Amino acid sequence: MLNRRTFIAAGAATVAAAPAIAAPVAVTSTTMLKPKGKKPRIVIAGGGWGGLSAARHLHAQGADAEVVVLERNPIFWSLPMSNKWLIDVLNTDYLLHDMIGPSRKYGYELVQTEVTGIERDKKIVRTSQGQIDYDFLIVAGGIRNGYDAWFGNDEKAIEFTRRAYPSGYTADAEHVAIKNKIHNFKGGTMVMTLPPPPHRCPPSPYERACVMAWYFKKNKIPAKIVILDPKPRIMPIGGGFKAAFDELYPDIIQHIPNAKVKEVDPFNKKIVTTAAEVKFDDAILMPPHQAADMVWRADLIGKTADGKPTTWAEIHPTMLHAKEDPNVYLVGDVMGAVSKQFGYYPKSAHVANYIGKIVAIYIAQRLKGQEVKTLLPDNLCYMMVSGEPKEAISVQFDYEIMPDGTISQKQIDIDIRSADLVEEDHKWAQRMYGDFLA
Amino acid sequence: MMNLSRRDTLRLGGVAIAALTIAPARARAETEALIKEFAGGKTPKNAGLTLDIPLAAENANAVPVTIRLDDRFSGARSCEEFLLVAERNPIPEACRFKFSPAMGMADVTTRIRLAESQTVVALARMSDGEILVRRVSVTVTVGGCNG
Amino acid sequence: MAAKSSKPRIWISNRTPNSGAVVTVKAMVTHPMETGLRKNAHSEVIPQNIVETFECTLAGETLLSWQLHPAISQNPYLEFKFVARKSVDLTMRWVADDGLRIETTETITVT
Repeated sequence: MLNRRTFIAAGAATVAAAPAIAAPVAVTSTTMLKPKGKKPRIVIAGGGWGGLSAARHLHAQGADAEVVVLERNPIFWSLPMSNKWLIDVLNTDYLLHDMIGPSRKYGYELVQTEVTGIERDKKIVRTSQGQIDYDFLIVAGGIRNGYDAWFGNDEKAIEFTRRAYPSGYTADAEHVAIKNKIHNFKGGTMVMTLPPPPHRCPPSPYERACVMAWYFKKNKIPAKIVILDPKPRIMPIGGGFKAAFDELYPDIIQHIPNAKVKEVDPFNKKIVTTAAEVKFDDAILMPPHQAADMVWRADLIGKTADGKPTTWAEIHPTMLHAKEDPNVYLVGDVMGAVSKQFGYYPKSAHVANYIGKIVAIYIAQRLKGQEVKTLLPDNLCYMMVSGEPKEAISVQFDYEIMPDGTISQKQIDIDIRSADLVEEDHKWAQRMYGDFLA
Repeated sequence: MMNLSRRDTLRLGGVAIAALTIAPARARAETEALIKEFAGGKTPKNAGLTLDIPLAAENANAVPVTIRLDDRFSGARSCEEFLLVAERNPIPEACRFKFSPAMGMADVTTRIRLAESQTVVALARMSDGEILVRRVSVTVTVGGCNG
Repeated sequence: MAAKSSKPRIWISNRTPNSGAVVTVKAMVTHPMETGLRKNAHSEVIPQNIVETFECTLAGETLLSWQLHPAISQNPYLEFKFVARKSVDLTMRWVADDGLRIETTETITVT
């Protein structure tokens, strides 16, 4: 017995925190997840697209540092491409990825644990398995669902909505629930509330409406999909989505603009918006998105002019660290506004990957005592609008530094739907997975 | 379409100089000269033509514009040409369309750049010489994914 | 910059319309539409490089021509409608100021 125990503890120590597994002792405020090492330590809180991309590119940059990724999920579930999985155009293998292999290949330590606090004054991250100190911290926690905007602190309504009408915007079992919902729908009104901007995308909510409509049409389900959109019109790629709604699914999709949610009654299946009042048979209720809990715990949320939380991290627009803390970087969806012209970078996987790379380069430059040179991302998204024939549309964003130092955005919609964009989408996904998950 | 190789690699943020806008008076003079030349001495009529453009454009680099002749062509009367002018762009003339009577109708959509908030003017010259005009004032804001 | 020449993207609402039906064509090519008004990081003017003309012809006769200036967005997009009268081969041709030509032909069969 003792031998086996010792063996397990020793084995576990290489991939995860030894104390919690070796003996079920309570984690206290002084439990150390890892002792301080000799090299500078970079802790990455969140192992999604941004966090794992940063870890992978710190390796590519030859950063002489110890890199530790803290991630609560045991597997990697890709939100990009997940809409296609909902209607069986793609299988589960496409979305599900191993995280251990890449961590070994790229020389970082992956610890499965929940971030419970960030104390920037002490430069420590608290987790469910103990605390860890850092020299540089990369906060890449993604989003949380802001149900409080609808329900305040009514936990009963929040929990019911989460279970009955899941949003499917985070890497968890909600996707399975939505897939089952689509496959088992017998007909009637399916309502989708779109999160107000800025919101995470992928999965694109308009694409989700299209693939569901395609599935219902193919299987002759007498369904109506009502999209409650807080925006004044469909955007981005408004032309391409509108053409798909009108030409492919005129009897199924109803898009209602200017529909800001005023009241949600999940128990009586009713939603009141500024544009319409809707009763539904089933729904995908997507509440507003906010930066993940860890950003709030780190006290990194920005404030509006009138003192309210922006709900996103306040960052230096080009150096990408926290406004008040140059040792804390923010990567991916947690990032606050970067420009007066366009506000936020798209909260996309492409941008998260790109910012992850840029932050890795910045940190490597600082570790080598080099000057940090500004780099900007770009963005690329594809949305499938038809399952058969398979057709997609696309949008591309480019960024430039203007003479006054601000960032300017250029957006190009490719809204003529075509099969070759579906192929490009696959190439994009494979290139991305190949970049940091292979 | 997209240059994927560029997207595979990081690039330095290049410096772009914003297109210089031109003084309002000169802009208006240039626009008036364009319209005068297009109209050939006729007084444009504010009817029969639709200019569909967002009053608030979220993406100044690609503002969708539709110009449409309200009536189909009839045997005797068709539309010869559309002129689209953005009077406060550095080059106000945006584009022209010429139609054959065989089109049967004149209804085109494109996307234009707007240097700033301004009035956009569409003109149509009919086969009988009549000139139609439509003006829309557009406010440029910025949207994208996160507007 | 985007690739200079590529297959144009064409979408046609109905390739087998009835006589008298309205056909919508959407056409887009990849092109930077460089205005000639911008400067690069070294303060040098980036020379103008734009698609100057688009023509849609059938049997040698021009149905629609489009004269483009720098105000037209990158990857110029055009949507036009016409009344289908007879079966035709529509040839669409883009010509840029540096001599680049992109051409495609689409068949419309009136039933």
